[in-house]
Amino acid sequence: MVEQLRQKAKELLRNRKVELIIGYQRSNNNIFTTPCFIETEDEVSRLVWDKHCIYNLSSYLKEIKKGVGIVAKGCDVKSIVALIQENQIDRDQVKIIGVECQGQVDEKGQSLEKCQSCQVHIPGIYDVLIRSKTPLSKNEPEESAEEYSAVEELEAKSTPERWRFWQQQFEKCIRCYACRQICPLCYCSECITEKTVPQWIRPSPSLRGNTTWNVVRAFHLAGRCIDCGECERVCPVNIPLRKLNKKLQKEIMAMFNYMPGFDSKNKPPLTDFRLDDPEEFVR
Amino acid sequence: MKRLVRKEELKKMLAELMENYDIIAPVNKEELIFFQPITKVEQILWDYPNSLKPVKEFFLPPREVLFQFNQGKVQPADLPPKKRLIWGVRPCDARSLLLLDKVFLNENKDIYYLEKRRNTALIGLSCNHPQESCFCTSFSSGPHSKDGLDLLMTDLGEETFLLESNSPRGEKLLKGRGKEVDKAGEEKREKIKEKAERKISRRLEPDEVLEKLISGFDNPYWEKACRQCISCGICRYLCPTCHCFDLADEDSERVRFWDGCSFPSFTKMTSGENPKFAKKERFKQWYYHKFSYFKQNHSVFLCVGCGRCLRNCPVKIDFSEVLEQLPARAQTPPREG
Repeated sequence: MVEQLRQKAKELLRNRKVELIIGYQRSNNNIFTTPCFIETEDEVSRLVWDKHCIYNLSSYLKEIKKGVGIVAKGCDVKSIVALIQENQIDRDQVKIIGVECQGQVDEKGQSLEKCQSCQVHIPGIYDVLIRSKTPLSKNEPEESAEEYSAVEELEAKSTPERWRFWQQQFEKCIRCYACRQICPLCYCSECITEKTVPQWIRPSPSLRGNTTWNVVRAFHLAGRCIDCGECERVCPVNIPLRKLNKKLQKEIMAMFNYMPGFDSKNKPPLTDFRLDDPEEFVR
Repeated sequence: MKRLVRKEELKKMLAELMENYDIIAPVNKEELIFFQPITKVEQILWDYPNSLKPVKEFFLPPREVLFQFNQGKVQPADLPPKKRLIWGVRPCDARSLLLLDKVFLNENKDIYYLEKRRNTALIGLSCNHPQESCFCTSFSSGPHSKDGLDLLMTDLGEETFLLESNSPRGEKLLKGRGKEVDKAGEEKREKIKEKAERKISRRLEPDEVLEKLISGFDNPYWEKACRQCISCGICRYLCPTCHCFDLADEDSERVRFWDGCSFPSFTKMTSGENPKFAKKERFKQWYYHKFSYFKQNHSVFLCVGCGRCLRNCPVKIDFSEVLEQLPARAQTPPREG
């Protein structure tokens, strides 16, 4: 697969289809990977692909929007779809080098939680597809494949219990904003946390401001988050942010029968309206 | 003063100290290591890879109330009344406080910082198992350094620790404990120290770095080097020597809290002007502050080689590699016209 990947990357550069390719390269410890930016055919040999390519590189499309090729797993492509839906990138300007992914592992070698309920081993959209030598046969989304057991476990608790749980989690937050920065869909040119007149959210790390920040982050991703899980992965104090994201995903599914990240032609439900909407206030 | 003290006796010593001191020590909390106030000796970790957050948080807290104001009355914040003792500080973190002293205890003393420093005894624990990301030996220090500590403990194995005082306060704490150090004990300690130092293979040459930084400010290298960075604050906040802060009024409190040069809003001024908005500038700032500006102002590098930035970067930027790969001489851009 790696050879095929390098070959395709080379062709894209040679044929001037792209000026830059965002991919994975070996990190210094020779096991894990780190994002890399390839500009010439000679550099293509740095590209790698294996089960250590955890990063969702589409986050870099917030900064690099034109003439760019990107190595993307099925889950990463979902956020590219969302970026197209929200007019953040031009489909013609981004060449997607889709890779068939059979799951990723963390630094301890453990399979990522999100991979266990993966429905997109093969990316939904791509310009080039790199197939595995032993291709997985099925890719069709299963009816109940979305895993909500962690959410349901929390839902079963009483409101005060849930509140206590999240207060304990948010108390840990150091406001490093890694969750925001790594998120491909957190692209506001000025984040609400940076506004000072008025100051909507307390900037210092304290329970009150931390709660507001984490709730606003989650709400702003309702119907948009494609559950790549990068926010949770990068959180240095291990706040289970995916639980919040999944809860909102579940709610949006129940309310609008909508799953983000699959259809680039459609509008996300919270940015759209219908004249025949049953709710009065919309009309 | 040097003494050999059994672990059992150390535990007793801690329990005694608890009567007069608030004890802060490393504990395991949901698989992460934190320093925090403890009430039971059993909570303490006796060997641990360094904590996620550095001990700077007890001197320059992530959030600190400076004073309260209410209807024209200003009430200064209470400073901690009880003496504190931080137990098990790693030598790299202890050294970081000496660097922070240069900022907060210069001719304009920061009373909030000063009171906490004065009030706090530091008991170190030699680092016998440095990690791959550690490089403290690059800064004329090491995993068994006493710099900045009142007392250093070294685990010699077999439930025995070698304790060395490094200040009058440390001497007082140690007096009358354990027994004299014999030759075997000294030799054992030396062996353990050498082994720990040998384990550190990562090396940075800060003087070479300084030279390269001075000539490389406008090097196009930075444009490419910064690409991976996602502009979060992890490396800045978890760094034991980063000390930038911001101020805000929250309700009736004036608070000081951590800020970091990686954020786009870091240098945003009231007028809206923002001289370091570009990612390249923010990315560079960190390296220049640590290895150029601080060195030129205070004759010492602002890094202790604890490796937290390396271990915790969400996209695995290798910070020493970034400096290593900076070209030695500036490439002069072609003149226009």
